[in-house]
Amino acid sequence: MTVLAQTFALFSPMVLGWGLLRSLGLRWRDDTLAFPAWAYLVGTLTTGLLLFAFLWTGIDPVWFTPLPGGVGCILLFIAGRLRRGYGDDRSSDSQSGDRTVSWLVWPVLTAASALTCIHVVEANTRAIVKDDEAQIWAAKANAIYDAGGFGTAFRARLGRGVGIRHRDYPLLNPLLQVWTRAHAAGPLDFETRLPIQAFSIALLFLAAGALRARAGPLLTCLLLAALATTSAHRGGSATADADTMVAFGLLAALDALDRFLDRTDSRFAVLGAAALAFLAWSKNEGSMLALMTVTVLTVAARTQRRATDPIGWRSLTMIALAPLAIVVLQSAFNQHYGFRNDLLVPAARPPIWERLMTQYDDYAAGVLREFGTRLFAPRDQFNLILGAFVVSCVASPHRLLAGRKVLLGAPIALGLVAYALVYLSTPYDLEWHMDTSLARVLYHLTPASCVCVGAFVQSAFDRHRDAAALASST
Amino acid sequence: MPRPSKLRDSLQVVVAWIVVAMLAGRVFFAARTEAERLGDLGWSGLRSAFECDSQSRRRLSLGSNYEIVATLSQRVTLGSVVVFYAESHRGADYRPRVDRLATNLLAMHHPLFVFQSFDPDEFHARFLEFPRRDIYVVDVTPRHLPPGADSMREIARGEDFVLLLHEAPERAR
Repeated sequence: MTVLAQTFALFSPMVLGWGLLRSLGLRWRDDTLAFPAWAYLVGTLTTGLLLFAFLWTGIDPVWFTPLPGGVGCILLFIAGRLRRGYGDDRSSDSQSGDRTVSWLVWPVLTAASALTCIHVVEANTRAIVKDDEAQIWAAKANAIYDAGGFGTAFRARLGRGVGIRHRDYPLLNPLLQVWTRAHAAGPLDFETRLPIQAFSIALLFLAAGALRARAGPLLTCLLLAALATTSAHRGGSATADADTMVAFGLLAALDALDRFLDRTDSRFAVLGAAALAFLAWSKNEGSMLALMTVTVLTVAARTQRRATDPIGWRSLTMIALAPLAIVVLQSAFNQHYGFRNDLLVPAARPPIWERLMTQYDDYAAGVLREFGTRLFAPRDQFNLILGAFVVSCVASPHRLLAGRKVLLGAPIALGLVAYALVYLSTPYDLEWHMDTSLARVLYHLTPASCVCVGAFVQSAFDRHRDAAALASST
Repeated sequence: MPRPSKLRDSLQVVVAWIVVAMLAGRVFFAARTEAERLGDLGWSGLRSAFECDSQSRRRLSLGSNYEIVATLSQRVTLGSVVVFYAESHRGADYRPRVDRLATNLLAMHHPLFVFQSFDPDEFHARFLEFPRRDIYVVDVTPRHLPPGADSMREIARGEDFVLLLHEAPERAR
């Protein structure tokens, strides 16, 4: 695969996403840090959906390759000509003129991205041949690509018992790998990892933008550095596993929907809906986290008293429909091919709720101990970010779990509880299950926790400063 | 409007400072670890990683039969050529293992060309008949390069798909 083809495969979805965001009215200046990440999110989601439609109709994916970049360019051209969207008066990058922010945040973001790039280069000295990235994600992508779509050849390939594990897992990751393979003449070694690894860098941009919108520049730099130096982030950037996609999708959804709640700006409602759809299509855990986010958003929108622009059911329904449509699509696909989830429908074992009840007493202490160790042990797996999140929630529950920042805190807290319940009801050996997966699923929540901690610390400092100013004036 | 609690705000500021301090400490240690790791890697290491060629990427160390078959099943397609070879080593005969591997792989991918022994002349003669040029050469002998492996690599070099898989000696026994 040539460097030109690799570059094209990597940046075409981004151009498409950029064009779609411009059509939506979002512009670079709305958040100079997060905008590239938003473009990559929207672009990869749309590329995945379009490619799915092509493959379902049996059209060779090679014919699809010029489409995303071409459509993106056309959209950008039209947006440029018509100057559509919301005008300059709605620019929301409130700190764009703050030189201190730029001087502090950009170098840290650049260093963090460079470090992640080094991890990527190191990881790509290995071909995709082992573990989950080969046996779950690349295996499915290869089966789809070699069969030329989802026709009889794909079914025949599945019938031969080709080694694909967890066949029910969502399709976005394999589709992005198929997208990359469509740009190459033959089988690939590591190149299909690249669109997935790019989410690790996009995640840093997204986190920088989300942090900067809620915290000062120094705090933004500290938390960004903490995130970028976790071994969980390093591990996520080394493989084609979908865990970084879940972390990225969750942070994008919470960030966009929190901005929507704050400003009642419909552009962020659409972006949030796209992020939820992305989240639901990245991994089964993503569907669970999307459901929790929609639930918390609905409760928050209907219970918080808003002086102006109350959020109506129409907006909430529109936001919820996007991930719901993806879940229905994936479920129909799984039903069509007879794919089943191993946790929900394990062979010859009792159902999940029954397991939860019977295993609770035996497993509760072990699960609690392992979660506590991972969250609070001073090692570099999560750099204490998740521990800091728990401390912040305990210190300020009325704000992070019930108040204005409920949309940042509550889905993460619910996610922690949900993951604990999954382990309590596991059909496998508990120790093995946690050893092989706990670090990865906790990483799903780490970037969003990082932003939540930033919001908590900044609000505590702000209120203290305001109180001191009030006291000195009276 | 409820009055802000002074005590609660003060406590939250204390907690916020504790959070900042523990994160800053972790960042310091993590950054130092990363710096040491990058120092060990060096420019030359990074450059060689960046310039890593396809042959190096495909040279792997594998363990069980399951892992070998699972790995190959991700790569091979219809018409692929798989060459298994193993030789008697330290008194142990690994040819039955090759038979099992070939049987498992053929059960999953049919038709597939599978050679079960190492014979450069036969390989070279049959090579011209193969409809595709994606060739996997799998060494399941528990040592790195059995006699003749270099000539095998010589034959296969330059083609678009060659996989050299080596098994770690300690896992074979």
